[in-house]
Amino acid sequence: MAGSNRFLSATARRRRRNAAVAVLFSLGAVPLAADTPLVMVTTRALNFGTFAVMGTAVRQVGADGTVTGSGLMAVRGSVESPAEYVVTYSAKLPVVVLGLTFGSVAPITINGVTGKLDNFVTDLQGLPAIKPGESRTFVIPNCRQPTCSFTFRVGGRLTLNGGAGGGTFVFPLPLSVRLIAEQ
Amino acid sequence: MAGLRLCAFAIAGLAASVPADAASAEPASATGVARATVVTPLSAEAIDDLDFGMVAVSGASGRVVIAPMAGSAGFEGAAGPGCGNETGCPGAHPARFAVTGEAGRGYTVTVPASLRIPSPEGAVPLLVDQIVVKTMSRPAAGSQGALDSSGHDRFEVGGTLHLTATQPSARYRGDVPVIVTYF
Repeated sequence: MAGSNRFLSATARRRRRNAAVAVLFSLGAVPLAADTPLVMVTTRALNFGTFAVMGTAVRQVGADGTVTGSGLMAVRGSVESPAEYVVTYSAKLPVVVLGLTFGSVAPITINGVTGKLDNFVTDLQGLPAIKPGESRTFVIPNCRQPTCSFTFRVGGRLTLNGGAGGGTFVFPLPLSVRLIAEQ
Repeated sequence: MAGLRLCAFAIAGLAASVPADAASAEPASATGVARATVVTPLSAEAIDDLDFGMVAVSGASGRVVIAPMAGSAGFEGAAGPGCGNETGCPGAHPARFAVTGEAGRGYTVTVPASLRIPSPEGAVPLLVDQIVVKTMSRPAAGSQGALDSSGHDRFEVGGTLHLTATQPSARYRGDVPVIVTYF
């Protein structure tokens, strides 16, 4: 290929060089190789606490841990917290674009009480809310080398309907992230 | 020379964008959980009222003490039993409650420190103070108890009734609010 350049005119060579430069500049954000795999682990459950319910109850745990609700009486010592996930990745460029996919969450019925989760919120930059089954992108602006590790939290709303029976509700919260680009 | 400059520029451009290799950046998944513990609501059923029985006061003030889990009333000062073993004479006893809820869970009983029982003839209301609670499961733990493996327990409420020398003869009756909550 380099040898064929000898037969190009100076104008043709200039055109080819400009095209190459244009291609290089357009590659400002591309999928990248990872020295270490993209890893995500969960470090804390989304915990709605312990409480008694009469009829219908709603409890929302925010991504910042704020708890609101109605129709329930919390037991003293009840602990509430947002879920916490840690993503680790070896970035070559400081800005990482990731795609987050949130799996579906089915309702659960225990002892006549049906629990349903919705209204999921996160503390990810530019991604305050996400729905089950939805894929969204978000940006990690300061992914430091050699290993970039960041933590994000997920809150949600639990709605309980039904009788006054007790039980422990455990909902799986399947999340996946994929690398889209480094910038 | 122009070819050399293009080559150097291309290398610099590639270093800034890093070659794409999507296959090595596998998506990462993590399944967290959302958890909520719903406890069976507590219920407290009144079995017997707090009853100070028939009391006689002779010329001075006196007190009647009903201790929970004790069995009989104590009389102090000018107060004494108003009847012996006559049939139909109301006996003194503490209030008795049955509690039902989540097996093995602790609960606490809240009662007022004192209260006034209105006099039916507009006289000075009767004072009941030193209202105390004792649970069957934890008699030494004051107002705290624990439900057994089937979710049951009992507690009693006693108090001290203060009588003046001029207390009108009447049947006095008042309400003692009792709040039972999990802890």
